[in-house]
Amino acid sequence: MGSDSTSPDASPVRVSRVERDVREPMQTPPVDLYETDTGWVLLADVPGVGKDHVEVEVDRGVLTVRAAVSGEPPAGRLVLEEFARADYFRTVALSDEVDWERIGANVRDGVLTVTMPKAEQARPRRIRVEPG
Amino acid sequence: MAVPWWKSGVDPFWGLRAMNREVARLLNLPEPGAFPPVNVYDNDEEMVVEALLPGVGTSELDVTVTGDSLTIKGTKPEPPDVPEGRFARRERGSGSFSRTVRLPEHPDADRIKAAYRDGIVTVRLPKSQASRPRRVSVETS
Repeated sequence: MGSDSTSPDASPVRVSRVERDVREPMQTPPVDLYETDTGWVLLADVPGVGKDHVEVEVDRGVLTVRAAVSGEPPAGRLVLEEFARADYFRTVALSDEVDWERIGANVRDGVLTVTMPKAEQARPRRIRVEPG
Repeated sequence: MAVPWWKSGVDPFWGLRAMNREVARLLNLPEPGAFPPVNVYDNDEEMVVEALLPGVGTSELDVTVTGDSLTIKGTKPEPPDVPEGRFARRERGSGSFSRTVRLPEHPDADRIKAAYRDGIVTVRLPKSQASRPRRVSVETS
């Protein structure tokens, strides 16, 4: 698609960066992925992750999300444990119609939103049908 | 003609699953699949309950304590205005929820505090004076 500069084989797109390295063990966050008229939206549940602890990277048509949980657990004995305080890691294969240069990401209330606009030539456009 | 249960959409083990959940709740064991998932911490001063509620704003959240039961209720919103058939993946789930957790001890109801940050609700429940551990000196006779 397009020129070499927008090709997924070019250098990876880094949308934001983590303040510290994401550590093992990691967990896989659940995601929603849907299409809009202008692109795709990826939502990932990453509770415990603040603004500066997310990294979104695109390389060779694969979107990689790494997110680090911030803050310390409360003091005391864990008497009931149903979730792990582990960092998040997820990869999603993307449509080759994504405009890599304009991917945006933000985190709010523990939900990561990645917006991936369609490249101009991939957007739906109305074609007028001329009477024959 | 009778529809076999595996095609009927009815879960024949519903009763068994419900009983499992009830037993888990009474024994304070993890309840797999319960929403929201919670961690409960216990120290000398207080109990701390954390619940994972990504995307649920404070306006959608209701935290109630009755005796030694903590109930968290709310609604996890759907992605806004997504037309049917536009989802390529849908794993996050949405809708209303209610979860009740039994606390290790009775909290001091007047001093309970709850905060929501980065998709996690943290409820701090100080122990009532009566249930705090205290050292009793043993006197020699």
